[in-house]
Amino acid sequence: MKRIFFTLFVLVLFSWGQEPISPLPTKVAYHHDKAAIGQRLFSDPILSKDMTVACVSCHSFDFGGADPRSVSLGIQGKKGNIQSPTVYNARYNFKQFWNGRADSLKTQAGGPIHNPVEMAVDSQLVEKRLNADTRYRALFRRVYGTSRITYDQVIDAIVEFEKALVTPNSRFDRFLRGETELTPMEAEGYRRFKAYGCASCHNGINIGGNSFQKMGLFVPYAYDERVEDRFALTKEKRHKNVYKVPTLRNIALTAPYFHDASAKTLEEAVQKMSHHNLGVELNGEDVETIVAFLKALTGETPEVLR
Amino acid sequence: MNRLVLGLGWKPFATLLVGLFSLGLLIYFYAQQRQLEYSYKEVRGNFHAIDSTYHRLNHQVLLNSLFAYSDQDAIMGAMRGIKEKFKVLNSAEVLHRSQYKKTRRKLQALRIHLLSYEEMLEDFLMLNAGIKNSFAFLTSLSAEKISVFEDDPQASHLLFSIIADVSRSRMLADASFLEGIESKALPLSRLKKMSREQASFVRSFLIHLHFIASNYPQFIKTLSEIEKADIDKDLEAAEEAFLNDAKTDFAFLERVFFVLLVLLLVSVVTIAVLLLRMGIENRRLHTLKTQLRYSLSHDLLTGLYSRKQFEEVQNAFEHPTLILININHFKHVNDFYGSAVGNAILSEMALLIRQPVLEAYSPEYFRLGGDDFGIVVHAVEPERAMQLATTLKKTIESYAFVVDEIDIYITVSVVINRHVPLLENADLLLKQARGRYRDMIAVYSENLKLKENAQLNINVTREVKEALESDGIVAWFQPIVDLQSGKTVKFEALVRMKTANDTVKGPAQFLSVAKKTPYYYRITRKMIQHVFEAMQETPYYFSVNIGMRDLEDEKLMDVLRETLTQNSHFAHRLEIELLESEELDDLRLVRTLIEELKSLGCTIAIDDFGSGYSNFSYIVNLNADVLKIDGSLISTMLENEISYQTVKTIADFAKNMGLAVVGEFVESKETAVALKKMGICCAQGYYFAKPSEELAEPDIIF
Repeated sequence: MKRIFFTLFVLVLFSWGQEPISPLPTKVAYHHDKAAIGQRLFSDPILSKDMTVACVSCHSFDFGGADPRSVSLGIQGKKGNIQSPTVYNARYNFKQFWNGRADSLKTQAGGPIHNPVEMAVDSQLVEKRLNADTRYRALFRRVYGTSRITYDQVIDAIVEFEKALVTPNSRFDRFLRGETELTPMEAEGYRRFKAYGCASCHNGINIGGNSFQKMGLFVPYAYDERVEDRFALTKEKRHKNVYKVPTLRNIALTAPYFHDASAKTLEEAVQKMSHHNLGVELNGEDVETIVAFLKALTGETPEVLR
Repeated sequence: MNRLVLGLGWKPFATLLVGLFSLGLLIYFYAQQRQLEYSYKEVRGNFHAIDSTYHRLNHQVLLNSLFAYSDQDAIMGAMRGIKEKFKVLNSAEVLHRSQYKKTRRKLQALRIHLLSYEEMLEDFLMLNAGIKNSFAFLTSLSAEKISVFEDDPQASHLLFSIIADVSRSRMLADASFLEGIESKALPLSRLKKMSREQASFVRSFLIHLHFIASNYPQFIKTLSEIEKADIDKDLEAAEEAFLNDAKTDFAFLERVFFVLLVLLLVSVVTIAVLLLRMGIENRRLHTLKTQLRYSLSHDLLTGLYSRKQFEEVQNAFEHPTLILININHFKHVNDFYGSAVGNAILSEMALLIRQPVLEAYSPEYFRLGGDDFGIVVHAVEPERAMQLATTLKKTIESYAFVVDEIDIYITVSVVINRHVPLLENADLLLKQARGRYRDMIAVYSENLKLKENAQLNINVTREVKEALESDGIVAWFQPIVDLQSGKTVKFEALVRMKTANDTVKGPAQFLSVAKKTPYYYRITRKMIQHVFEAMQETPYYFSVNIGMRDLEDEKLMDVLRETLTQNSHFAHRLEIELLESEELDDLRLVRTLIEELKSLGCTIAIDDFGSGYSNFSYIVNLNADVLKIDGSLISTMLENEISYQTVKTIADFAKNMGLAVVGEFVESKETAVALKKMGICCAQGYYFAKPSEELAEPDIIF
């Protein structure tokens, strides 16, 4: 009797409504001319102090819009202390940066540009350099209709480009739209993904990126005070080791994982995550199937890059 | 009109300016009000959007707390929506006005509340994920795996009991069922000799149990905190503050609007009043102008057109005939009855001359002078015009003007003229008609040569003047012969005028003209001079002609007195021939003067007796010495029995009265003989001698 009751309860709890994940739109609206300028700027080291790094240096399109290195290298080879999150589908994150200190892409874009260990330029220098460049002047004049390039226009162009960085039509999205079937392994992985509670945080359009969560919710996780977590922002004790839940889209492409790059493979990441944040120990089959599911989350290269 | 506008001065313009200004402000404030209304709606719209999003958010939070899969995007999306709407609301331009200070304060409070609310949400989500996962693990995953304790009924039972407590707590959302649950689970942690599977399960089970036990009370608290965050209360307060502020704002605008409206109305009314006043003034001036024009073109007494009007329109007449009517002796009527009666007569005349018979000729009526009425008729045949004039004259003269119960009859002189200049010609003719055509209707024609006559008169007057200055007025003498003896007893001095080219003119040629000029007196004086000179040089007796009226002239009388007194020794040789004058007013004065002259020594003769008004008693009264019978009687007495008898009667009368009689115009012997038979003593005429410069006695024997 009790078992029947519990089963019924769980069924109600977990089968309510739709799937916890929704597909990316197959087409997104953005200003193509501005995005074209943004794309150029994104790859141009002109925005770094010593002209050695560009946005793309740490958000590589060959690695799912992220950095395969544990920490990124800024100007003069300066090391950061956090693993670069992917730029793909960033527009669907509720906040930007690991600790969510930026409310919008616009606020975010300026961050790395000014960061002394990243690109380390101020707005004036950006304007000075770009205005000295006749090709940029011509491009901006054509699109923005002004003879002088302003910093705001630069940010606007980059943001417009980032808005275009959406990776639709992953196998899973197509499954959600009923266009294809998952393999039995992937389907089982998705079932366990939900059953173990991954979907409690990794849900929504970006499969994450819509809440903060403590790293080590059930089993405490090593704390490094040098890393900018949520605590660095709010100074609330309960925010120690709290980070924005990252997106799982294109997760197969963006190793290493976690803010500290402590997981080199997906299997390792799944194991660690279930231990610390789900409070369960997964067996080999669990991990295998969930990783299979995660690999189905890889989408197409954004249209703007093709 | 210009003065009128100037007279109104700056007032209407100032008022107009004020009116336009207030209208402009009115439109401006109206636009402001519309703008405010729009902003007002926009702000309220944002308030409501935030409110409804907030309620959706609350709903989503509730769903999320209940269901594992509820999409957190919806929560964060709603929160983002609230923040964006709040930003729009907070930056609404209308709220930056000073009137909305309270609203801004409330919004600031709301903003801070929203920030803490967002933080609360974020914390809730963090906790919620763990709570949900733990419940899921404890109630469903563990239920699957509990089979690992199949062989240990005690452990199984404990596990089921704990699961039941956890479920109850979850179902009832009541953390109290979890009290002591961890101590209840203590036996599980003390289990020994567990398999690897059993140990793994128990570790996870205890982790989750611990998480639930330590976090669920906090979770319920957080949830109820979120529920009781009452963002909507803050929102409501802010909106209420906004409504209040807006009310003040609208009230202010409405007051301004009202004041401006009143200002506009006042200026409109003022302008209306000023315009009305201008209109009234305008009408008054217009009436005045009409009256003025009327008085210029009309005679106010009779209402007929004035002389001025006649002069203005006379050139526009087509084939006009002017009938000019003059009241005879109107001066006497005025003097006798008073000018009030005169005016009454004139007024009635104005009506009387409007005869229906004239209507066919589109008549126009004028008062052309004091007692002159003019009627202009058009395209009338001369004969017809005469008929019309006759009718008019008869009508007027037969009409009894009743004034103060007295019947007054008047006579009129009428002149008809169809030649330009209409009035001047008619006037000239009227002046002549007064003398000659009193009872007739005079018709002007070019043949009358009235104008030429006038010119002639001027010429004659000039000749007289020149003659006086160059001794051209001379005396010619005609002898008067005694019919018994044939001797010359006297010479009559007759006036002659020598002109510049030495022709000599008789009195008929200039005297009647000279009589109407001041020169006439000088001519008479000259003649008296000539006679006295002749008396000094010769022993003869002389007679000289003086009009009876001339005697009334004091200057002439003085000359006579002086001369007679200075030459008293031959005053007896002078005889003054008085010519009857038709308008002799004061017979007694004349008689007195005659007496005076006789006392100075001269004798008095009555000239041209038998013509005019001559009557015998008149002669007796004048106490004259000699009667000179009118020449026209003498020259016709031989052919005309009446003339003959008249002469004889005069002769007999004179003889009886002891007066001497002289016959004039004697041109034949037969006439002279006839006169002699009648006992007339003396005679003169061509039969004896023509007048001559010399004093020559004729040599005639009967």
